[in-house]
Amino acid sequence: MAENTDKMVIDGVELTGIWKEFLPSRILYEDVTTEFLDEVKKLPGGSTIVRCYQCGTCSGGCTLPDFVDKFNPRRFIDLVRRGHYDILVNENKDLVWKCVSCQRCTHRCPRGVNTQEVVRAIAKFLEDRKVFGKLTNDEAFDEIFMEEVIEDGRIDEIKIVKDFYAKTGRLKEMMSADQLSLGFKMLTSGRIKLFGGKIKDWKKVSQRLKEELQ
Amino acid sequence: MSYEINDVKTGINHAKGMNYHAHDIRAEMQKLEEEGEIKIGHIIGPYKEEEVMYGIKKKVPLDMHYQHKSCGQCANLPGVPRSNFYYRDKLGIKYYNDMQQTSCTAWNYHASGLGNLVQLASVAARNWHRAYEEGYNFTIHCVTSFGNYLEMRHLLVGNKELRDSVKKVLAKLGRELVIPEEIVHDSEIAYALRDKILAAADPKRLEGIKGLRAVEHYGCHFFKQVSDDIIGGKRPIVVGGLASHLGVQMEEYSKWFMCCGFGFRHILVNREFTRSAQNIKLKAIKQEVDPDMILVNCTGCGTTFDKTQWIQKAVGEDYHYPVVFYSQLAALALGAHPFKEAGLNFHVTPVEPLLDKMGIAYS
Amino acid sequence: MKTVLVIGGGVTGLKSASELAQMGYNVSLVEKEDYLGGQVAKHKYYKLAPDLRLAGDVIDPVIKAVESNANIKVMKHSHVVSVSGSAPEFKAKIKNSKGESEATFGAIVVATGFGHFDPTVKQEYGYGRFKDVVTNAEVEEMLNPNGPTKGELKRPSDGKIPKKIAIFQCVGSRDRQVGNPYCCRVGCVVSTKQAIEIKEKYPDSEVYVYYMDMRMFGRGWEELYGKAMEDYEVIFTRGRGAEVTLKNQQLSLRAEETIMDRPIQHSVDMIILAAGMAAGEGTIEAAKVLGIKQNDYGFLSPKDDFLSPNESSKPGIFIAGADKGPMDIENCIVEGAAVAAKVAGSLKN
Repeated sequence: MAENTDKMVIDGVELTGIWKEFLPSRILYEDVTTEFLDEVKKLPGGSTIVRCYQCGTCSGGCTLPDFVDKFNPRRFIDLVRRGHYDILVNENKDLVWKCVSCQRCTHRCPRGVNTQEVVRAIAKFLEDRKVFGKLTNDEAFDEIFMEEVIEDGRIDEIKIVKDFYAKTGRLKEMMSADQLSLGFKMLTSGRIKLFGGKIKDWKKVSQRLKEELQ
Repeated sequence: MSYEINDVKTGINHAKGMNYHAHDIRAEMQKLEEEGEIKIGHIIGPYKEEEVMYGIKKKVPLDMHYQHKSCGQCANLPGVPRSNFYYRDKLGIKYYNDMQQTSCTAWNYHASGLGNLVQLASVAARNWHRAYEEGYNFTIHCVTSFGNYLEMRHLLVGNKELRDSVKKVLAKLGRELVIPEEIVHDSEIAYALRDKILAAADPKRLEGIKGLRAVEHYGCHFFKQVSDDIIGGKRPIVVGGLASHLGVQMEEYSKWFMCCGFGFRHILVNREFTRSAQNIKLKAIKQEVDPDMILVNCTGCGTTFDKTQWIQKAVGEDYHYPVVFYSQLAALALGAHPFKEAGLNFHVTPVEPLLDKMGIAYS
Repeated sequence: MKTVLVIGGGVTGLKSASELAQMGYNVSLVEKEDYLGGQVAKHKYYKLAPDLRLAGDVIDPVIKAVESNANIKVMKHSHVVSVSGSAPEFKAKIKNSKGESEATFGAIVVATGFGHFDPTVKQEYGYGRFKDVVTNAEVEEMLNPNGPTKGELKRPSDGKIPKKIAIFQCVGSRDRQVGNPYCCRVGCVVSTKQAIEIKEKYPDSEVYVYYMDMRMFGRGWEELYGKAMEDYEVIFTRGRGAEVTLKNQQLSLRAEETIMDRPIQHSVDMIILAAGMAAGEGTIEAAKVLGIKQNDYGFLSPKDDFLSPNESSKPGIFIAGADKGPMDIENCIVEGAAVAAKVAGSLKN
């Protein structure tokens, strides 16, 4: 425990630091709530969350834990099912986005849970509740990727890189010497084009997509 | 939420299988005595049988008590051993207040987490021999000593090496290894004597006690350390049983089994733990029951409950629950002066409001 | 044609008696209660797992058939006092309210069944101290429309219908503290079935199951577990119930949510203990009277678990059903048929 040097006087007796420290209780709950389970159940892709019984096969084969600490699909599902919203937000809000959709979990779940879809549904559930303040790099990239796909129907490499740096407030970084030289090399070797082509009649598809995703 | 205290009647139930025998240490002790390995300090005088669990009965001696006193009680709360002697005087029970008794040294053992087993067992055997040579039944005031002696008995009966080492030590003192037939705590004796206490009680005092609401708390070392030789088994009834016999209404709260937080080592160097555990206990007691007093049988628990209520003000809680030991309650019922004879003035949390409720005069 | 003595009129005894009668043998069926049907009748089982089939459909026709069978002599409210002789001539003294009678039998079948563990000794659960802590068997009686509460689940303390119910698994089973380290086999499926029945009858109630493992190995049992979780929203928490106290007017239980690695303290209106199976009184008495071997837990020991599973340690005395160990109803019926075949084989010579 950090040394707390605040003073407190009770009944004329002066107490500082460790003499008035109390340990917080870790007892978890009085009531299980199924409020969050019911919400995630109704989100697209989330309906199979009710089948999970925590066997751990999904997390056992998951790709992410090799690289990302604490990424654990079984745990995300358990936190939602048990209603531990605070823990879900505090511990995991930066993690649920990182699923790479390799589908090993879905492929193997013995209970028929569409694990990858459920994890995405949990991410959407958190997004709907606006728990995210400053966007992380992953979240920012996800957002502009989707925007570009919906607006233009295709990804323009230069545009997306520029938008990504702009969204995360790092335009200056993009203008650094090695980034620019890298960009130049890619341009001259034909890996990226300065102006990407347009897709014919994309506007109609874009309109339809926007309606669906509302 | 009030509950009734009933004598435990579990019995040996067929459902546990015909060949199941609860571990009864007395049978093993008998065998060792026949082999000449140990001596058993048999119970002298009248006794009462109370059920422990699985149908095993414990013989509680009703007379000729060797008073093994408690360090913590004599130092912090001298009213408690005084009350122990008081109610025996009133009931005409003979006892021996040994001036040569040593501490059981279990505080050191539990606080440091290290134990010199031969030392602990030898000290235990030495005290047992003191009672034996004076011709009294061994009774214990302190819950820590009680747990310690139960453990030592268990280890001595089961382990020949330990017995031989202890015998060597005792030989240097001119003593031999005598294990008492029953290891009995004073609260179990008070429970066994409850009818006699009620019969000899002062009617005016009983009037005052009747209808008071209390919660009970047992020391961890009383029933959790060696859990198969306590009246009431895994949920003891001795304090509540005595109190409800005298007319107190016992109330249940959701943290009944929880440790008070005394912790031996924690009370010395880790007091935030004790404070925090008390926070949870007192909060439950206040929110669910709000009793007139807290009844305890353990030195450490009594001290902790008594002295940790004030610091709860640091987190905005205000508690004033007087802590009363079972023997002080018995002494008050028999007509003791609350300060001169029951020693309630040594308690930190004020007991005056409780005495007012009981209608006992004090100056 | 020799007569066979069947001791015990429960599911196993009824099956073996009817099979033997069908094969042409005369049977004397001795039952200590004044009704047939064993535990199914005693605790008024209402629906059987996993299909939630009415227990009456399964047992009433069997009882009727046995009672009306000319080859079976049913002796209720009787018990076997002593047995002498050896196979194939046993002399048994049977006693009932009318007096004692003696008869000769070619073989004896012991189908005396099990008894429930008495949870009073698990004092941390407060069974017997708190009125609203009940056992599976008591709830079974309550859920039966012909039972003491006419099919309503009522709190014994105040007669109200509980809104929150917790079910504790493994009470008196898998427990070295009370000397029963074995698994009771049926606790998991009976609790799941009762949880579904309660949720069906009272859709607003909340049912919580506190378990170490959910052992659903029988026919249709795993699917029943899935149904309870998905369709009925029974909440399963991995973490065995540790202690029960009272908080205001509700029962307060402590457990750990092991997956979250933290303790919980939870208030409920009623706690159902899944009390395990142990050797019944009849089984222990039969072992004494007949002098047959028991295992460490009081159940009857077969001569060889794999090679002669229905023979006891004495020739001519056969054992079947839940007196050998914890067993569910479907397997007891099979045991009844198996022991009948074995007896018939032994008497043919």
